[in-house]
Amino acid sequence: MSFTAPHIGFVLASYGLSALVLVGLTLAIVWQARSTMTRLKDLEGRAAKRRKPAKQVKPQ
Amino acid sequence: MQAYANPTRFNALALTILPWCVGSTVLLFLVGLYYSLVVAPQDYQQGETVRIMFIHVPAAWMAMATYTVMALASAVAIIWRHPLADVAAKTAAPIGACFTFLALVTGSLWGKPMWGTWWVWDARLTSVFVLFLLYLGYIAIWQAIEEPAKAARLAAIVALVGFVNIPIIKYSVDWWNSLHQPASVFRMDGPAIHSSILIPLLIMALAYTMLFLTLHLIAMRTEIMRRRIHNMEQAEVQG
Amino acid sequence: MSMFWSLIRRDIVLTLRQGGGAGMALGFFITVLVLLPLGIGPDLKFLQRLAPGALWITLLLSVLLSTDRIFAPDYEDGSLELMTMGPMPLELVALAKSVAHWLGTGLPLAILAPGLGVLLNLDALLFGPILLAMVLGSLALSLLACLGAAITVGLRRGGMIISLLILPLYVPVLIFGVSATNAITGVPELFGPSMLILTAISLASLVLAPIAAAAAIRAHMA
Repeated sequence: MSFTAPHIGFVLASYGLSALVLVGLTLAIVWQARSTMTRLKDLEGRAAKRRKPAKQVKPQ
Repeated sequence: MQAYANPTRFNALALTILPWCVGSTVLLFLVGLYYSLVVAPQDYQQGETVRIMFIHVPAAWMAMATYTVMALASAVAIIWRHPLADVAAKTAAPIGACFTFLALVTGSLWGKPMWGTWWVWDARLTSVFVLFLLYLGYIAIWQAIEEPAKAARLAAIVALVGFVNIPIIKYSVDWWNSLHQPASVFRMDGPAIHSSILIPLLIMALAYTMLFLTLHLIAMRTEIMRRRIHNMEQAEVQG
Repeated sequence: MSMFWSLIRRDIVLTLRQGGGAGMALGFFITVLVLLPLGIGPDLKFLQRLAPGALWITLLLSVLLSTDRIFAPDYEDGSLELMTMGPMPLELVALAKSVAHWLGTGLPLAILAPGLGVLLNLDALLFGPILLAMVLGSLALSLLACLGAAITVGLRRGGMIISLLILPLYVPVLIFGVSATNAITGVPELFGPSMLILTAISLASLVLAPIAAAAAIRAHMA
């Protein structure tokens, strides 16, 4: 690709913008997945804790 | 198909496929970009700007393909009430909106040097623009309604009405354009497609498709997790 | 069947009494048609070229403006829920509301259009075509407006979403409506096909829009 060709700015702008949007989209989706996963693990931890006290009382 | 109605099974399936999806996406993009930017020759008439086609056409294809996925998922959601169908539709929308946005903007950036104008009201551009509005309206419905089940049904109706409307608009604008005889024939793909152009185009199209698949799977898993969180929070409150 | 007609009658009476929907639409219609020449300039020839498109766009926007009054009052006082559970199929309810909207808002505007078109120096030859095209087209506009209203009933920012949803649906009506209007002074052979397609759109909407609207209302009431 020759960087001195006419209208090269348009080509670079297109590729740059596409990269920006697609990478941004990917990051947003992955970040949402990660934070949701963390929240789920937290909740599952709390749910397990709520069951534990009952288990400790049981054995006589 | 019924086996995958179970979100847990779907999650398991998604986890197995995901590494392959990510891997092939990265590989295809690397190869595709190499072909688009280095191997493909300058066009006789368009010069370097023909390279914009390699990211514009796949974006446009994906914009339409994603909407089709959304419409199909919405139909399944309404007719068979498959539990994962509205998850599939909901999560596809933002991805499709991004593709549509890119199709429009790269199209303008290609149009300006090629035909001297940022925008033209031909059937294809107009229907892609309307497609963008449809995506926005669909996403807005999900945001505007609080109960998930209600939102799912209304969003499905919106998706299907839009799907029916898109070919009608394309036909109308085509007809309207033929009346007004535009100055030149605006053809986005150029006169004929030579293999030196076709190969980068197809590789990039595959790359975009794999990217969609990867992102869609991740987003669907996220949405399923979100619903599970919602249920668990309800259970916690009720004790 | 008499329930159908009485529902239409009820809606029209309400519209006339309140003056809300139709009055707003009419006021908007006139306002835009007065402001357009003032904004564009007094060049009569230019205005004449613009007139058909401007009249149709103003019709579209005026109808759009009155959409929230289609279902909102009934939703607010609970009659919509009663209609959902009543003996008349919800699809017919939606159809009745659309027809009432057309008779109360779309049709009057369509009839006034040629007269008000004088403000834009509308070619006298086009008076007939625009009247006919708008009478037929405004039916489609009301039906689609009713669909949009059904989808967004009770939503907080419904107004914004409605425009986004209905605009794509209005595009074909606009295109063929203007084409039918312009035909006589442009390409006369196009009058027939444009009017036929416009009628087809209205007829198709007559059947399909109420079905989709009823589905949307059921989703809201569930």
